[in-house]
Amino acid sequence: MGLFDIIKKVFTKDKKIIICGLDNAGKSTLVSFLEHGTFIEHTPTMGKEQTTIEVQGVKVNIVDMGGQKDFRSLWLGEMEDAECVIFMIDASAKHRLNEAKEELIKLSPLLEKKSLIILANKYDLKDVAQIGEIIEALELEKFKSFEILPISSKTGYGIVRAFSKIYFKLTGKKLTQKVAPKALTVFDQGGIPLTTAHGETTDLEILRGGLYAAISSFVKESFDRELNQLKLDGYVIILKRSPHLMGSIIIEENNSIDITEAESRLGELLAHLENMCPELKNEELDNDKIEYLTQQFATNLFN
Amino acid sequence: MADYIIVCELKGSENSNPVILDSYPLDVEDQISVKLVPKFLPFGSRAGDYLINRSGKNTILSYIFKIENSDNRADLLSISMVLEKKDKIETYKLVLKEVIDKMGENLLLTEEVLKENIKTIYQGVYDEKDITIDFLKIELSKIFAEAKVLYEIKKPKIRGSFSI
Repeated sequence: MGLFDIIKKVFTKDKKIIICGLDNAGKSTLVSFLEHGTFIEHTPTMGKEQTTIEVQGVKVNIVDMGGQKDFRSLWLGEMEDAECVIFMIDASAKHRLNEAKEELIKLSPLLEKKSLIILANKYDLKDVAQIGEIIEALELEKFKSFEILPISSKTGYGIVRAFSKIYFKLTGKKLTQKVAPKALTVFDQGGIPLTTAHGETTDLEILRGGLYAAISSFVKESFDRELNQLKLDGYVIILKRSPHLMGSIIIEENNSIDITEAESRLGELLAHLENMCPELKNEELDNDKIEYLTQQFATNLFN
Repeated sequence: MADYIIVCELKGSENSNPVILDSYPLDVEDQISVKLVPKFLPFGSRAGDYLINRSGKNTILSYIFKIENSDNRADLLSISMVLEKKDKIETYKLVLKEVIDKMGENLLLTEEVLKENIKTIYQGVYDEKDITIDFLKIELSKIFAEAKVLYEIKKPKIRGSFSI
């Protein structure tokens, strides 16, 4: 370890964030999505749980607080040395917004000195409170500063965007995304496209002609050998299989592309879909479900 | 030998709080139960954990498990033994797990069944004998016998001669 590394180690403090909010808001589910990239069922949190994740060289200690009434008195103590406070609400539990407001008010003296981010969770469900409704119900305008973001700790919707905000609050730096995909497609085992997610500025010609041709070649050639990358018309198409699905991610071909990173993102999506669709093991395919989950997850990849 | 067995619970539904579900043979009064729960269902507990705590001169061994719900998150529970001595802790870990696992495999792992059978479970552990919960026979005697072989400290054989 060189001298600069030692100095960097001494002056780079671990960052602490505390996640609080009513019971059943989805706090532990968010933490495990950040850790594992997919939804994991949780039992209620007894008191508190601590997790550390490393992001771009920064260690972030996440203290996940139990939301039951008996544990709420612990929140203030944990907030003292936290750099950022996340208050999570269940946007589908409109009947509990008032209770959430009452708890937030109790934290307000300490929140004046802290960064506050409100995460409106369960935005994968249909009947959720809108952001404006939540701002009004929680009387957020009374706080000096706050950010409010919709997410789903179940489908991954908005999680990277939310974490980017958190990371900025902690470090003053932007979370750099090494992959800027043009399109993301999920196929069944035979190479038939099930759904495509793409950014707003994508040339759809790539999606129609080139991609399907590339996938046909991939299926043809895959009986002899695995073909996991193709170059076409200035784009790189990365292909990957999971036990029951296939996927492709299209990125622009230039010197700064990170193929490994792109492949990882695609792998995460496929692993998430396999986890969320256990019916795939019985060779059942729910197109609508796969489309929905892909679109939700893809919000983390397209700006 | 266990002084008593306690089952604690934190339900997965809204507006729940950690509670002592039942205890045997000692009856834990409601007003002190809230303060005692973290001794038996400690902070940070997760299903599958074994946790050891102290209470005065006694040792508390807890096995953490969950009960699934169809329309809510699973409930988090602990079954704890308060022990005078620590020498059989590894054995009791196997015993507690066996009781919970067998009940779960036979669809008997519910709050009600646990409360109805806490005395039976305590007696089985105390006497190191098989127990019957509803239709299910749980062979605790086998667990105790196997654990004795597994964890018995073997005395070293004295070798050599010391005659002068």
